[in-house]
Amino acid sequence: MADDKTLVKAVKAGDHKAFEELVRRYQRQIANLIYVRLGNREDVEDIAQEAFIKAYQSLSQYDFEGSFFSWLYKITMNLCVDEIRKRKVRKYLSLDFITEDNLEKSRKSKEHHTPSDEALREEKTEIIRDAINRLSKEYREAIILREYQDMTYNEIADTLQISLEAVKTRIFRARAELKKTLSDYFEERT
Amino acid sequence: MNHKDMQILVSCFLDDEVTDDERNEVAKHLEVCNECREFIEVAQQARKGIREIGEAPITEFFAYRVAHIVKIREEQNDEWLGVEPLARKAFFALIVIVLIMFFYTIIDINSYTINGEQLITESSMDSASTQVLLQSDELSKGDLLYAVVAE
Repeated sequence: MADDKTLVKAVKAGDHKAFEELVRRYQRQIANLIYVRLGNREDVEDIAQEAFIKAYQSLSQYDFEGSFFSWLYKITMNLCVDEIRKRKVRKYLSLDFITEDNLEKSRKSKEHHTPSDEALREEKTEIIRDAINRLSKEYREAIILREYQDMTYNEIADTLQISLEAVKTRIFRARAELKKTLSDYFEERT
Repeated sequence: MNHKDMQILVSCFLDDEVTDDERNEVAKHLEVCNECREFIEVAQQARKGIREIGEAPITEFFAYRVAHIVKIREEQNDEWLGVEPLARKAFFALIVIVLIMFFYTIIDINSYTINGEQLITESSMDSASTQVLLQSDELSKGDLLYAVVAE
């Protein structure tokens, strides 16, 4: 199986099959990153597609300094930030959510809601995602790559282009922050 | 080693990113440190929760679709690149034509002079306008205005 560098060189030479292979290699990781960052299954494929197309279009700028995934990771994270910004604007522009009808529906839905296992699981996912999103960018990146993508410290250092010591510190601090945010929640549930 | 360094080592221990010696050191520390035991407990719960977020959905033909989109866009680009030089040449030719027409108009206006005699052929020779108009071959707007008013 060809390594990333060989595939990237082939793509630069106009080989579309090589590009398809690169997409296949990283589609799962990229989709997961987008999902954990945005928390919306519907948008994952669209943004992943945009990330790969953007990577292809700016491939001439990739100089083989870091790993291909590291480069792709930055493109994906920038797109996620753009998407979050767009969502905020849309939320402010749309006042639908405060109409009397919607408020009434929301009240009724809460009144009739019985917590099932599925609902509790969803609630937990939301709380954890929210806690992750509250972390600073540096800590969030490190903890997601470690806990969600199951990367080793060396892989994280390579992806984020930081030292191994920085990886250790960031992961520790992310955990310490998560402990502050989540320990009450975990205590309530046990 | 101070406690903060030990906490970082505990975090590494959780990820199995420690040497054998460090592992033994952390194990000994955990026997006596409540704070670090609690840290590990919450970190493990958080890890479980993060992993429960689940996999993102990706359709079977995603890679093929993305590669196909890129290929189609590139082909469209190539087609457009063939048309582009022609369109660019046509645009510059049009600009040159417009400029030529513009300068021709300016030159034509400047070369046009008014002869006083041509204007007063039907006027009586002793009128005030005649006196003014006959004084020079080329007339200013003021001269013409004066001649018209006097007439």
